[in-house]
Amino acid sequence: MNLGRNLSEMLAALVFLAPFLVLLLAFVLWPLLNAFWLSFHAYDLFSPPRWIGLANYQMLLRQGDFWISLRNTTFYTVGVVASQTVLAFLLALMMDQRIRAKTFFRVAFFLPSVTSSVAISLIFMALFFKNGVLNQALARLELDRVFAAVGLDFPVDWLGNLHTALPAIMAMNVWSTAGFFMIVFLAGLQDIPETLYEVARLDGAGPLAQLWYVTLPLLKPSFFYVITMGLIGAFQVFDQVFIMTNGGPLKATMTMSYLLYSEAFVHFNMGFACAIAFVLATLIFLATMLQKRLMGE
Amino acid sequence: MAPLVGFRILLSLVTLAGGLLACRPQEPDAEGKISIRFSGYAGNPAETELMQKLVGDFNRSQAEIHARYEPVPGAYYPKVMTMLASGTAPDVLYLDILYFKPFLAKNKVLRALNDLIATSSTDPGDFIASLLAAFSDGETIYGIPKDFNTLGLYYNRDSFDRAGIAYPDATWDLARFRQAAVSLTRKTERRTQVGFALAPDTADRFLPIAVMFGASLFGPDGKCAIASPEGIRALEFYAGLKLVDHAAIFPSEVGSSWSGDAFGRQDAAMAFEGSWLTPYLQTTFPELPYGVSQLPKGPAGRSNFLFTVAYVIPQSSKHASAAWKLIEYLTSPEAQAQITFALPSRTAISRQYVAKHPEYLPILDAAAYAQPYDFGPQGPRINERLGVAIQEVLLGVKPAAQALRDAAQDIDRLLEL
Amino acid sequence: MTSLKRILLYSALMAFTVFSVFPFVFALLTSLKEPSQAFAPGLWPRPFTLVNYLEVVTSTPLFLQWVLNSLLIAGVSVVLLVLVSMMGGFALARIAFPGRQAFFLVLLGSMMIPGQVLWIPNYVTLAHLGWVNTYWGLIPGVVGSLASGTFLVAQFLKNLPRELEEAATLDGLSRYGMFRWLIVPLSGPVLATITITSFMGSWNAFSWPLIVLNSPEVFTLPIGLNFFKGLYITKWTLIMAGSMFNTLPVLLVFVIFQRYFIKGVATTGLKD
Repeated sequence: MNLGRNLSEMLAALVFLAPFLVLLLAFVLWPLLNAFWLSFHAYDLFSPPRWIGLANYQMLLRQGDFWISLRNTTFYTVGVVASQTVLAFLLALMMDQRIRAKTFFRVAFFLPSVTSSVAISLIFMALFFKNGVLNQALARLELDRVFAAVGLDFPVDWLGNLHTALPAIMAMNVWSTAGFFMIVFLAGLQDIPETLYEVARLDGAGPLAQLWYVTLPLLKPSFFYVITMGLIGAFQVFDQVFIMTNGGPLKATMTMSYLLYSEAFVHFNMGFACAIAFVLATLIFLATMLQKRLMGE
Repeated sequence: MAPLVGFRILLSLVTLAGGLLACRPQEPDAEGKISIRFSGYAGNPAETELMQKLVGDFNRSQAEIHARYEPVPGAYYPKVMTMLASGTAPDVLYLDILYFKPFLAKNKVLRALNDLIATSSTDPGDFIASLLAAFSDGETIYGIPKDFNTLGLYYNRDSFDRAGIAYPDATWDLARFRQAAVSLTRKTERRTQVGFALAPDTADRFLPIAVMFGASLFGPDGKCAIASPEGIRALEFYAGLKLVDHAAIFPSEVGSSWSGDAFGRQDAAMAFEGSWLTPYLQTTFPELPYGVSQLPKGPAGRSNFLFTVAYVIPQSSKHASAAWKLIEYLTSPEAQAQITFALPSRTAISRQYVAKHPEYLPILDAAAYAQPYDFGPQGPRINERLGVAIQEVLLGVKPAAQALRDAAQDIDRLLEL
Repeated sequence: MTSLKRILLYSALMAFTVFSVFPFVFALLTSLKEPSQAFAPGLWPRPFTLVNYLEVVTSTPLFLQWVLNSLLIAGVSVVLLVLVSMMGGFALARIAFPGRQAFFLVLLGSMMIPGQVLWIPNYVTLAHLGWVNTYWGLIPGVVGSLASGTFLVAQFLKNLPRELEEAATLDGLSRYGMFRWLIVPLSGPVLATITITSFMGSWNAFSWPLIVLNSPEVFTLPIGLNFFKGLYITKWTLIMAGSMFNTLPVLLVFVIFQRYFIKGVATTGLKD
């Protein structure tokens, strides 16, 4: 009877899950195995894949571009995830106060994250342009002398300068994601029962102590989610680099995803590109695990 | 009930979308004819327009064949490779000289044309021999050159007049060129014009200078020899125009994407460009008084490169003889006489053409000594790597000697692949 | 809160609002400038002109086709995603089948796989199927957001009362009947969330369509826009007008339906 019931439940579940399962198998799980298999082959789409063992991975270690892209991606990820998390958290704290026009602020902050990467990239290209608005504003504020002091020619060609191109893209991405993660924090904050704060206040905790002993510990799941999603997103950055700089100037913005794309779809080194993809996936996995460990989740 | 309304709207959207996708026009005017497709890159409006017209003329002249022209915007070779790999490639394709050897190395991508040529009236001997050879492997011909270019020195007459310098001529050498670039550079309150528009990340404007200095890309042993003292001096000269003399700009600095455009907007008084610039200037900057001369000479003499594109038929084409008919038409004397962005690849036609349009003469003259822009099966990557070296020097990351040595090392590694 | 604190708080919020909104305002105003005034000092267009919008459409006749393509593709993706994740989420939340926990883990795990790993094998599959440069080829890109949709539905349905099943049995409804007549009508909010997020996802998608589509006639708007940028790289007023075609509709949809969005984000963020 139990077996029969199990079987019929199984069957029912299968019917409802079938479309999802088919798509998942065909376009996620099977390709995942396929990519792993390809990463041990030389494959240019024209001749059949040829087994070359670990050669793709060995070449990866010897290729300068890979190390450059790894360095850029790491720098990008650390910078973006740290800034967007902190910014989003601060915004959420402010939004959690008793304020008017909450919806207005929420919508305003969220706007950048619903806009397409192409449109955002084009808008920021115009902002970052050498004769563009950013430089005009800086000149108006008489900040141009500051740039001279750090050795940058003013007006700065933000996306054409070796030292500013990657930070410029990073700033843009922090801008576009902070509002999104703010919502996550805000939901977490609103879930913290008010009574806990009351108890803390009775114990004589000031605002900072409340933040440290009540808010932060209880917000751990939100932090975990924001950082994880941030890591996954930042490690994969591609669109903005492709549209704004093509990895340039001189590979200063070449990220792993961009390198992978150009190896795969410009040079048709499919096996090699799969090897890069697996290194990227492993990095994301390790970073997430490390974060989980650090946060004691 | 709101979700149900939503569902209905969604369902009607699908039906609508399905209907619209199903009615995508399928070769409306091909009734019963053999239909073939033809693709080339769409960078130059003058070229796209001419191709459109030529394909139209071809279709009117043919009772059994209908050709469709599908110009490719953006990155051309990735797309062509994609189409070849997925079996959706057109029947006739452009193939740049730099990409011929890489394509030849791919498993059965290109179709040999000898049998088609043999049964037709086209005589390969009518084409400029070096161009035809560039698309052959021994006796096997894989592509018919459509046209060609070399680099010329485009100069702004007004700027020369203003600076009181005589226009460039056959006696010019690199030292004169450099002097002129410096004297032509004028910075005023209202606008700045510099001597030379310098393409910072491509090797093709630098390599002729390297050869003029006596360097060569490959040594007799087949290894990369660009890091020779001559090569280093050449790069120091080239980068010096910007870094030492401040007589050059990058097009990107003035919001432009290529040096011909920066020249057209008068941000620079000189540029190295092929004759593709001529129709662009005529349509975009009709007022600009410009002239063209050969590139200056260097210590080791003259140098230039042949930039050429061929029509090829992919192995996968099911209508090779129809495709060949189109190629024959596109390379016929009548069609070639209509080119404005390059020189015709037929020897006789290119002579007649230059007689009629003398501003193209320096481009043709250079063909006598120019080498094909072809670096073997790894050509595109070698070209890219050299571009990086040039950019490294121009951005002050590395001195010329080190940049070229690093590049040579990487190129040798590429050659081993 | 003291009034000083209040002033500080509002100033900080206003400052960030300006920071958030300024690029859009800048883009909109630039798109309304005369082309020759693109980088003239000052943001305000003098005079106002719609010439850029007109030129976008006349210089690139395909532009409107791209808008249409994007709308169609977004419509189809929404339907696919809503149907499949609704069914999957229902099975996961309301049917106690063995292996459900394991399945949940696979689902969450699949959300962790970076899309780049799947680019190449999926592309190879498409090449063999002849789906490159067709709309069928976009399916793998849509599948990426299936897992989160299914997850969202499952979370929502789990919180519906247990009595639903009993009511369904009393009414003599089959499992399908229950899904169709009880669950779907109750799922309004989560359906709205998925509809809107998947619409946005499809409308904004870039990397996968970039890989798959290569003829301008089949481009989606973001791919077309990037191509358009390549053609007119020096005409910033025109490019800004072009990007407004991509931005304004989505901002409008967002402002109208913002609560569903925000609910979706908040829900996925809270669990796990």
